[in-house]
Amino acid sequence: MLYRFFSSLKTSVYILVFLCILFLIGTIFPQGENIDDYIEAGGKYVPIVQALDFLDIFMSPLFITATFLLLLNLAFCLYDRLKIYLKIKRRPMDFQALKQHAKVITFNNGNLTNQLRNIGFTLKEETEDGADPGVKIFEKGVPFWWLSWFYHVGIILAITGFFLTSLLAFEKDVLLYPGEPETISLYSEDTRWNMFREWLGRAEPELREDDQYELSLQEFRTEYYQGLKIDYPGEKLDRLALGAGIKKLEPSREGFSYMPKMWLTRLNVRKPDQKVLDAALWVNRPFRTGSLTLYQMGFEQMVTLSVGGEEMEVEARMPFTVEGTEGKFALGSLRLGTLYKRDGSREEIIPVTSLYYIPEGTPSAKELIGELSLGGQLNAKGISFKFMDYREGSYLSYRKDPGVWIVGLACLFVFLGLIVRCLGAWYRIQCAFEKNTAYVLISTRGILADRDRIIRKLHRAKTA
Amino acid sequence: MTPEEILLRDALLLSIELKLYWFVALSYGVCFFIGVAYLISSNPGTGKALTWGLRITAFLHTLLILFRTYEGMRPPFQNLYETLSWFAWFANMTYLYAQSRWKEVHLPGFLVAGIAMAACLYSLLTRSPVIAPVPPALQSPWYEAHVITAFLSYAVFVVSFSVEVCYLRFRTPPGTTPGMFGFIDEGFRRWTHRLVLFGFPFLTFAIFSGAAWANDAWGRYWSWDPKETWSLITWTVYAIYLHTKTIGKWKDTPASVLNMLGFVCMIMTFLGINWLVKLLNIPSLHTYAV
Repeated sequence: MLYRFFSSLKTSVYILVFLCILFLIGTIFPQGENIDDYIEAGGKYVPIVQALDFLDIFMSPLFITATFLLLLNLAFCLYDRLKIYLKIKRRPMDFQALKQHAKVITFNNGNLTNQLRNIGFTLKEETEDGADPGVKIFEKGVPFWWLSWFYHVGIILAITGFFLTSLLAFEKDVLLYPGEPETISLYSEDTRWNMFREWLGRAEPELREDDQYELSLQEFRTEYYQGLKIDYPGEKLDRLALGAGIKKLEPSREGFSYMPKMWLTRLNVRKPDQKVLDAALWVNRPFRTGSLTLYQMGFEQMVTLSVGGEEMEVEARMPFTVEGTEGKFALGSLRLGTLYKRDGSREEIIPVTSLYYIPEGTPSAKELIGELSLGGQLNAKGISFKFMDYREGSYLSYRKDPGVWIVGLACLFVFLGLIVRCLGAWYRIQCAFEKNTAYVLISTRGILADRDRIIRKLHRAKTA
Repeated sequence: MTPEEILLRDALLLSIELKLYWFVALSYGVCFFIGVAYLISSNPGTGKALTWGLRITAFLHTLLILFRTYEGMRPPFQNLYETLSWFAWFANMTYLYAQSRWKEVHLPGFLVAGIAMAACLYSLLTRSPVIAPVPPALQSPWYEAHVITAFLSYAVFVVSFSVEVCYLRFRTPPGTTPGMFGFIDEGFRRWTHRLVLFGFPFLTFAIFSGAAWANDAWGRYWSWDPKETWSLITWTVYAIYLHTKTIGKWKDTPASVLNMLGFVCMIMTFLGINWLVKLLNIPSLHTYAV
């Protein structure tokens, strides 16, 4: 009873529908939000949200149960189909049934068997049916039932990989400045597995030296493109007028803009075995060694200013106060590095930032005072600001995820299985000969299977 | 060239492109109205005009995409303005291929033209066409693979949906003479299944390549971000559809409902989620696509 339930395709459909509903809930309720914040923000259906863990639906008992049921269903289905596939016996049709089949095609040729072999078919089964001529089964292509089995195994692997990731993976950040090495560890107390161990009352494993890496920044570089600025109208009617040629598109008077091209970090990585590696990484190009993966996330810029003759270090994009002045000041992002210009040339940007004044109590009324380049000076609100120096730190994240390779392998299984199953071609031909007439019945599977092409080939071979 | 000359040249190229794009949108609009006339008159000549209209529009749209590629010196699918254009083009091309295999059935072209026109107008009226350099986060071969396969699958699902709607509304009984709009029979309907079978591996690859890209860019292959989750909903709905096609009682109306639901989910993944993210103020990693 239980076996029949779990190996049924209808059960798969019901579980998938239920999972879809849970996915949907996950896109409506803010995931990872605290229940108190949810209530404060005017959230509705609080008792249900709390009871069913809708704010962390993808780790809720409901979701885990549904996924586990899907795993069980997949495992039962695979076992059930495996039993069937291993016992598959191709039973050729009865000759009379074949001869009278609505889709049977006749050829006046007794040598069709060789022609089928020539176009890639292999003989799989053959029967002699008493007085009637024997019926043969020829096939071509990968049997679709095995492909289907193969990508369902991939789905089981993917769910397992997801499970390992959610249990064992962790991610942390590190900020590196030149000359200030940082040590990171590939052990974290924050994984769900370690939290579960703690909940069970098990002792925390000791931090080990053999999972520690030392990182020292050698270089952090930013690069920019020169972007086009055009006064493109926001109003729909103006856009229509532009398309109709009534209005003309003009380049912006502000000229070009600076668009980020790349943030690149070069660093030395001292591995637990004391071997030092030269590493380079940038956005979309992480650095991997052993179980450690480093990602470029962003950067931090510190600017040394002389404010009214007194030196102070401030962080770009963060407001700061100057003694004796009302309101706050802030520096915009520090722009430096290489500029790739539209005319194909390159230019080293002189480090420059913008100085803003934020009036007390009205942060939205931020006022641009002017641009401040390295060595330059600006006067604002009776104070002189001089750009003395700067330093840039690279903001990296590091991660250990034992599930990722299983998911990668699963993706390969699923994709290859699906693409060959859905797009590939599989043919089965049942044929029998009576005197000089061949009776042929063709079945196909897969988008690229072309019954007419096979018929044409058989006709061509006959003519040749 | 001086910087001023470069700016003027870019502005001129963009003006030409915009005129062509508006013309393509108008052309889809004309096809849509020919389709409406066909629906009212059921005149086979009008049906043929609809298909020819879509063929001419496909040619113009191909020119537009080539022009944009030349203008930006890169394949044009970096933002929603460009991907909407791809989506409309892919949908039209897929329809024209499928239509070439049917005998005198032109009706689904009416829906495809309407959807393509809506995509072009949405792109032209709400997005900026200015060609911006590719930001660091999008500089990945996985990203390109992700966008191409996602839009290929979406386009195929649009055609499958159009065929399904036409079949449900105008089906002809088996073994009879053609109906008002040709042979809209079981054989024609099988195309819905074939198209989903074709699009499904590409949708799967789009999700995988997106995950591989996220793994390289953010260190996490899956974040349960609303857009990711909706893509999984779309995938699951089409997976359910494919399963129901093998279950005796469910392969007719329930499967049709699922095919249409899959289309709704696909639109939700592509566009609707952007609206949902803004409406519910949900943080999303996919803000560049919003």
